[in-house]
Amino acid sequence: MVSLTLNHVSLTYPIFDSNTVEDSPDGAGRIEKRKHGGLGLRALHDITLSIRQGDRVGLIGRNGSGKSTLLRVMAGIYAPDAGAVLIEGQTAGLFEVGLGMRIEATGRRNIILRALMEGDTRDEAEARVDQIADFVELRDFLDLPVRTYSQGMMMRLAFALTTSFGAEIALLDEWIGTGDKNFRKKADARMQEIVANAGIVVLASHNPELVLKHCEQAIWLDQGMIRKSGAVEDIVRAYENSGDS
Amino acid sequence: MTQPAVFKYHADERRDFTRAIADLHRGLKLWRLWFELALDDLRQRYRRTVFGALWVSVSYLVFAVTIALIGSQMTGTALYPFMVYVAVGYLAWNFINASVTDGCTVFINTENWIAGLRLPFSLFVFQSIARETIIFGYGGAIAAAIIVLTGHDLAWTALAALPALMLYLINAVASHLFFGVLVTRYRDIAQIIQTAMRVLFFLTPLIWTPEQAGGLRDWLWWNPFTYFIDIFRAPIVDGIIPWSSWLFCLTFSAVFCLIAFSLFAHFRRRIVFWF
Repeated sequence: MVSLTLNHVSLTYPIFDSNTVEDSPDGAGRIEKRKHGGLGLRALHDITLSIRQGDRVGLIGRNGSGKSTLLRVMAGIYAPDAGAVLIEGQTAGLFEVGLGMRIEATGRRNIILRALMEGDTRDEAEARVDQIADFVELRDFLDLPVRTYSQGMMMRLAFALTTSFGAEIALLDEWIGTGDKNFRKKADARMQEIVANAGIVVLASHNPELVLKHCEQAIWLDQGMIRKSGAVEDIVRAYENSGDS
Repeated sequence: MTQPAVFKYHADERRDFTRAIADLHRGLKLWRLWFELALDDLRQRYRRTVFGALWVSVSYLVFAVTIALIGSQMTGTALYPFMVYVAVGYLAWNFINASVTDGCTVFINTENWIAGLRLPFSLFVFQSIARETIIFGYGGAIAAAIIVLTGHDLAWTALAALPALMLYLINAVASHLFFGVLVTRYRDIAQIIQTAMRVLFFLTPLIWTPEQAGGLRDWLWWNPFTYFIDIFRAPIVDGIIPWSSWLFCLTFSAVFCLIAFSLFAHFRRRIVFWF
């Protein structure tokens, strides 16, 4: 059984770079004083949600509304200050391109490292390269350092690394912006596959079109709080009518 | 997949210690990964050089020989025994120094892995220590060559350097956890530590012997590094096992490990917010 449950989750980032900020952009989390002194950014406030296997959920909201933070909580990377998180299933997150990669190393080397990370032996990891190479179609570029790749190529590799190891919960942040049409098709298919295998896909985007296309449900985040959630059409319509989009 | 099948986190029941132990356990199990990452670190450092990591050996050799030449001339001691003394001590110091200074930056340098994947923090600690151990090996090969070529008499007690090395490794873990957590939050500490280590290099009997220290001699034993160097160097150089130094080192290590682990356990979940 794959599921993702958050119960009254709140998270405040400490701010170290300044002690004078007060005003945050529209739609973004508020600045507040922290318990132990200093300022904090209230990125998530009292988030309760439950996502079940087979769900495709979109997170929409303006810049800074907490989408990426929420995804990282769902991935178990950020521990919230309050509330509870229950993740049943293997998660794989794609947050920013380049995270979890060595850009000085070749694409091939990065595949091997990721395979070792997933618990493969050296031989299994080597065997994994061909399979992923097929998906990313980088051909001989696979033997060049990742820093020489174009944004789109890096994206392809990052997406393949994230989704090729049997993750049941895929957490994707604005991933589809780059990558050409051909790759987007493959990526779509890969996402369908995860959902069909009783997994979960959560996609964060400020682009309503994208969410509408890929998701059945949506959660609208505003200032780190859930403003509205439900069927994707309703949420996207409400979001667009609010003038926020 | 290596993630636990179920991840549960409740802000009110943090179970810091259990989680920290699980972190170390998961990190150790990923030995294939951290070993490869350590190799990559070295490849990257010596990228496009002809000799690659052999430069570690070269610079170590040049330093040890130069210091031995100058030192023996200045103090009128015999060259070969002093060269062995410097080579072995400097080898040990390099490892200790790296486990402190690399420990400071262990989490800062791996931010883009920590922020993107749910991996145990200890993975990066083991990666760093593996890298330092490989570097130790490159220096150690030269030290061994110096010992052989100078015709130094090795006693069986030289084997007592091995448990000393084990203790170094244990302290390296503690040092990475301790300084890694502290420095990620308070960046100034890295600068303080780097400066302190540079000074301590001269205040520890490495390029001079306690006998040459004159009035400083009584102060030497306030420096913990004196004892740590002693347990590794004395068996090889003098063929003795310095039990009193061992006693100090074991006590020190126990306390240090306890403090380091507690600090790590308590702040582990906060590290990711400190970048």
